[in-house]
Amino acid sequence: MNTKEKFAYAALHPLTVALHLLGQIILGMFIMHPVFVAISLFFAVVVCFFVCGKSFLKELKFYLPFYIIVALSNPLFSHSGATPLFFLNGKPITYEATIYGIVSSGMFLSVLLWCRVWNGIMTEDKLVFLVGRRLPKIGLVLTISLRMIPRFRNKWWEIREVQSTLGDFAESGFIAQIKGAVKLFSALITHAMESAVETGMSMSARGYGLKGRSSLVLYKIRPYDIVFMCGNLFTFVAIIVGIAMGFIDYQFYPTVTPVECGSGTTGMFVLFAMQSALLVLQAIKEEAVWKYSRSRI
Amino acid sequence: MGTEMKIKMIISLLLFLVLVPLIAVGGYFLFRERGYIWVSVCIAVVSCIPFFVSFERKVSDVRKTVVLAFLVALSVLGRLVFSYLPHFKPVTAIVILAGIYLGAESGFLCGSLSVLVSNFIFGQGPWTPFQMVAWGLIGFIAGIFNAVMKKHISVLLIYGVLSGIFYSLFMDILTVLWLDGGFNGEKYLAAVTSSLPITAVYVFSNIIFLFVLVKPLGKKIERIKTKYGI
Amino acid sequence: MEILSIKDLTFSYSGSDKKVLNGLTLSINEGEFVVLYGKTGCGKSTLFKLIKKELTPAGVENGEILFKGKNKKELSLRESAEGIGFVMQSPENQIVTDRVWHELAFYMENLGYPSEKISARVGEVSNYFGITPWFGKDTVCLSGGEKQLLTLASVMTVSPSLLILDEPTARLDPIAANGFLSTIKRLNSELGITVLLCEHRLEEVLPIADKIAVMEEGKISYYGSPREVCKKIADGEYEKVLPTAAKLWNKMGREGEIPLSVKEGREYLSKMESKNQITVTEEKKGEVALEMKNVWFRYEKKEEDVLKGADATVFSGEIFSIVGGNGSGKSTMLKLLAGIKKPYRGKVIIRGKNVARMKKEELYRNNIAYLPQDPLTLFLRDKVADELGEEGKSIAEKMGMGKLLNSHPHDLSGGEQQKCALIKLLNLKPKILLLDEPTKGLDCFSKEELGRTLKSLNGITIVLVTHDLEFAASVSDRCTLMFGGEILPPPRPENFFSENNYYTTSAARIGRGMLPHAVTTEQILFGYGNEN
Repeated sequence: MNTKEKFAYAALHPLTVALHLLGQIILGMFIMHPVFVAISLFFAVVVCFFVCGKSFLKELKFYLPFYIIVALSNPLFSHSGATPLFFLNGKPITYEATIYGIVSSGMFLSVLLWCRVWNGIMTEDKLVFLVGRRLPKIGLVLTISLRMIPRFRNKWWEIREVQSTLGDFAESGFIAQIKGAVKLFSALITHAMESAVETGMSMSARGYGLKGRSSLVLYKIRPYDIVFMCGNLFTFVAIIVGIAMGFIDYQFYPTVTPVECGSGTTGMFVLFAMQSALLVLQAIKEEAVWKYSRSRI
Repeated sequence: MGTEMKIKMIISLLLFLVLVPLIAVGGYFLFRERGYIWVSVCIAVVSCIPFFVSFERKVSDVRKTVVLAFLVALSVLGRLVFSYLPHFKPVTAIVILAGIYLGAESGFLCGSLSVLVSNFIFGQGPWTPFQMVAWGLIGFIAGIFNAVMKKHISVLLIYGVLSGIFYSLFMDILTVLWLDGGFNGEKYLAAVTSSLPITAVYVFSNIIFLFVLVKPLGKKIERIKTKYGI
Repeated sequence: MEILSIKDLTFSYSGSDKKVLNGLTLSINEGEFVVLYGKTGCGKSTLFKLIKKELTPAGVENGEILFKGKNKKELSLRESAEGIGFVMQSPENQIVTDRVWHELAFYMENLGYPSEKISARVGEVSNYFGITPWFGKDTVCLSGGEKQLLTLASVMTVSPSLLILDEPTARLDPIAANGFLSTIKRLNSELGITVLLCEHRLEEVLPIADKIAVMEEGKISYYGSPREVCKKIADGEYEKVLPTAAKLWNKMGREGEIPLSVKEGREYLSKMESKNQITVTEEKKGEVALEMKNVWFRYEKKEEDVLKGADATVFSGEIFSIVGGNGSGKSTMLKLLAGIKKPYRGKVIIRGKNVARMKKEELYRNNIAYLPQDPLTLFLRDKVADELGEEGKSIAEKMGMGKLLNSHPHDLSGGEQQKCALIKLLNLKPKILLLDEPTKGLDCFSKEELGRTLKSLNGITIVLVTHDLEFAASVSDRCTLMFGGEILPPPRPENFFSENNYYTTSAARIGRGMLPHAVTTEQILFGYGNEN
């Protein structure tokens, strides 16, 4: 996590961020309108840059081929649509299916990127915090397993290294590799089990399992969160109402609807852009506050 | 847990049971052609709730908590350390064993939490709720038939094969729904065929890991169960 | 006032007739600092678990345990959880959560403290224990000493009136261990908390304890002030566990009061007159077995260097020890020697060949054997016998371990695990033996045996890294310090430890200025004409 991200989003309550991102993912996932998809994609990329920094460029190399494959696969499978472009193996490749492929893969990409943002901001401890409020025991199972994973992973490497010095020389061949790995894994289980028992004892010794467990509230919802959430809720509800009123109806088949720019539809675009930009605005605002405060030192 | 907490929990349970179907139906009419995927995601999320709540309401037992966390950690780690062998992973085997030795609810929890945690490493996405349900159900059903599976290893292995196939078919539904919006038989068939080799690896790895792990892991869990009386 | 009273306690595990505890009686007053000593397997841990109701194992229990005058059976789980704090051996396994702050809150959350109280107490405790600088860290990133301190701090958040510690320093290095023990002493003297501590290293704890109890075969055989008990046990086999100063007193005529600390030992020694000089034997230089030339290493590209141009030469047949604090790169260096990790610059040369160019087979068959910090990682199977093979089994039987052949490696004690691991490695007929912390978690009896075994391995070159200065001083031909990623040039241990002021053995501290070059108890005794 880079420092910029920490500054920008540490100020927000995890619930605020979680609800916002869920809203983005839901709207991004279910609205098939070229302009909406474009807006969602654009802001997803921008926020990803804010969250991941430069390393995001590397990740894009992985995302882009995926986007192209999904975009191309649709016209190959689906032959509906009224305007054939050309024929392949006697089947028509249509203009409508191609457009549909491009828009739908843009939609998938935007959802993937919003999920990437989720992964970047909503770290495990924040999720555990949210889960733990309602479902404390499951939250605890999550916490403990999160603590165990790196421990077991280190043990795994340790066992592997040590065993490699013990004459485990023949390591070529797929089956031999699997065999070796499975054997090590079973040894890891033995180790892990022993330490898990001790962890359990340490928990009982500290009173775990007594009735009336409480929990430390780490994040508090502040007025700023409420403002953020209200803004978010307003745009979200407005967009839902807009959909119900048919402002953003869009048809791909049999022919692609031209993009209209009526006042209702344009309003929808503006609202969605505003909602998508919330995290960007937040980052800019934090940056400005930080610069201002620093200038007074 | 105080009565206040209990009331809170019941209210939230009701909210989920009423609100989510409402949202699902509303979303169906709202999103039209994307309605299928919306409804299926809603169903996936909702179907996790009762399992979670029922686990939450049972008496908290340190050992069960720890062993469960241990199994979750193990299957996440399994997914991680075997990631160099694509699709060859011990997760299903561990989830099945969790169901058999710790009970159906814990089986569901082991499956769904393993997904939730490991997707922090492998990437969260709309597939997360689907995987949670798929793996959770595999563990849950194993928990229901635990007596037979404990006795006959052949039944266990057959279940391993079936769950490998089930998982693959289930996730293919998502692939088609997500890509296409609606359910398209032709595309589904294409997805299933193209994922046949992967399904084969799932089945193969399930058999291998169940075969290898059932004895040591079972013995360990049983040992701890008798020693500490879970 | 009596806070804990145990009367005639007898216990055997379910499914076994053996009485682990056999008529044990012990009484501890409020505010006392009591040290419990006993050999491995004498039932200390069982006793501790019986005192702590939540941890009581399944079995037959007779007798009485009273905590604050209340019988254990009538004690509620909450009273037990809140009143008795419990710290165990492994810093690794006791930490439950993934963040430091959450670990501190965990105990109070379990007991249902209100959120505001938890925050306040967490802040207070982390200040008292000096945890604040790493408050927000991931618990995985902490060092062993920090982890153990965190465990203690977490226990202290509910301010229990009795604190039980089961070998809390067994897995720490000497400096971290001393820091930990002085924190406990502080809790005892500043807050008046009653402490019941089980510990092998009497050297450090006896001077700060109020009372010591020696446990044998499920009973308390000696109980009283450290001086009284030390005097009583000085004749028998427990002579070996006495602090260095007390050992000297015991062997040198027992005049006056028994000294326990280094300071008292120096006073005692200053009244004596030395008779012999310690001569430093010449370094034997043989064939070069192992060499490191300007070795640089880091784990990840972006991390810092662990080794920064380390140089070392090890001669054939010698025992070469490297000491140094946590994080000095000792273990990493051993991994490089073992060929597990490769340097990014510089060379490791084993008997004339560059390790980087050697095949695994050449490197590990009858050549190098590596004993890792956790000997259990050497074992993959469920039975000791399966691990050792036929040849190993007969060696094990000769070493009096025939009974253990059928047990699970995890069920052995630390000393037994170490022995089995050594047998397994020696089975490979190595020419070079690399040992990482071989004395971790061993009591002084197993340690002495290990030292004897290592010295008897003629012809095998041994490189060992350790925190245990006493052990290094007694077994090694040459000894050196690792610091800042470099290995300092190794002199004889006599020079090395007598020139060090802080990082040295108790014997060297006691003898400083009075008997030059003496670093072990034996050498001081020799210097004062009290051999044998």
